[in-house]
Amino acid sequence: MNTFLQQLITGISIGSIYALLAVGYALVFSVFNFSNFGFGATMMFGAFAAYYVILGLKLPLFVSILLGMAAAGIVSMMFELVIYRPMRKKNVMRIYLMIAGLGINIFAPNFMLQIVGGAVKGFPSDWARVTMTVGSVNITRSDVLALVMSIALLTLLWAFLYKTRVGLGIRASAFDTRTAALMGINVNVVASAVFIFSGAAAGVAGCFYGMKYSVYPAMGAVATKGFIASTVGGLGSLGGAVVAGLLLGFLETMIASYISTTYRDLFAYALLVIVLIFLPGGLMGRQVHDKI
Amino acid sequence: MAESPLLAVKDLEVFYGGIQAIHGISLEIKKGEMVAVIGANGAGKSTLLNTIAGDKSYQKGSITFEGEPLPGRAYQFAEKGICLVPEGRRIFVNLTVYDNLLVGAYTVRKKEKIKERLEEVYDLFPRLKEREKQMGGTLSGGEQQMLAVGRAMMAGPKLMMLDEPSMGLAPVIIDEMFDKFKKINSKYGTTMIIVEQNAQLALDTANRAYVMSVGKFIMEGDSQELIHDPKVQEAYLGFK
Repeated sequence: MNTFLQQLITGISIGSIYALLAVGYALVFSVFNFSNFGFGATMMFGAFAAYYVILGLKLPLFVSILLGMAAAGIVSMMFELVIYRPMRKKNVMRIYLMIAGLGINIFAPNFMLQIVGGAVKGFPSDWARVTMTVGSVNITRSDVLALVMSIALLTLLWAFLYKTRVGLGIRASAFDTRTAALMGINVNVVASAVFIFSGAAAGVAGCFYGMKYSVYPAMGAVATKGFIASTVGGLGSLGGAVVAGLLLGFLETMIASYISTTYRDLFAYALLVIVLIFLPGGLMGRQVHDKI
Repeated sequence: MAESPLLAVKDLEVFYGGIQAIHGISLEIKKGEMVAVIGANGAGKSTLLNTIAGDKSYQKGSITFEGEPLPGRAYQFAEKGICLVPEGRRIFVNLTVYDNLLVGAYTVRKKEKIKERLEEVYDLFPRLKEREKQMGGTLSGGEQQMLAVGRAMMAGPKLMMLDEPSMGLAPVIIDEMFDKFKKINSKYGTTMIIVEQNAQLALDTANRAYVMSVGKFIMEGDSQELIHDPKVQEAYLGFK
């Protein structure tokens, strides 16, 4: 029972990281109908930004996470401004945007490898490593923080989408960007908001992944799990992304602890394939909607 | 002394790739007018509306609205007061009826103004108020058309363009819809262009009309005169 509780907590904490990443994928997909494979890179830049803010500027952990989040948001918007927007203007097929994203995902880690080297760096926060004991279960502070910040960020995102004018613009654009433009919605503003928000979420995910494991140029690979979660949840569905992210984190951890860690990634991909075969729209995906 | 027109289109030419859809069209519409554009399928009627609404770019000619050239970007048209109720309605099926209407008022910054217009829309289409919390996609065709018109009203447009508003609707609902158009026109002074395949209906509703064929206007004039024109009767009203 104790092992189970222990694993449950680990699962939720890694699951909340996946959920943040998955929401980023879902947000971009819902509006622009493509998956931004540049999230791995965004996440990695966010983690490195926080790492160097702590080491170089000696700022407290919480501030460094906020700055890492801001840095990732800016990086994400740069990808949109410099790469995706010119491509969208030329009306290229969505698949080319995804290929560009894959390009970012290969370029960015190699770029960082040249600059900071490939060494795996521990996240420089002693505070985060402290373990609290509740009953007979040990919880690391970073796990609690990951969960709390994920909930806070997702709530903030929800409020932004459902309570603000730009949020309404995003939801309208998610159905049809051309009709949205007819209503006076500037799709470029929507795009910036979407990329900043999803990038910030990826940045926070990067910080917590860095705390849980470590910071290194190739760490963006874990964003693939976010992509799996967003697909399993249903492409473009924010609720589905959160549910599937938590589920994936939980199931992976259970498999790693009760079966074997070597099966963990195998399981994630198997889950993706099985869901795609039997539920191509994902767990909470949009029905094929009537575009008349 | 002629009043300057609200909308003036001069020698307009529009292409889809290499295919020309509009071959030099000119028209002038005064404030408060209700004008119909009739013609067969593929005549270029929708292209004309989409071009005026900024949804389609044009290659030659000029379009001025209130004496000024049209803005450069599609999203700036709504703010100028040009609203299109598009063909097929294009309701946001993933948003509630209420949110659909709010999107229509996206360019309106004043909260009181939005509230006021919302009441006007609900007054005209009480059905929309009943369905306020329902998703746009769950509405019937007629209700979706009401929503599309209500959504356009939310922007407080100077020019409202309706593209095939009768398409796919039951005859009873069509009559009701066209009565509402007249009401919007008379009550708010909204200038309207109605594009219709149902020529009888369009000519009965509008004061003036243009007859379009293969990208050109082949006739124009007073609706009642056109209704009695033998050529129009034969080609568009089904008289022999």
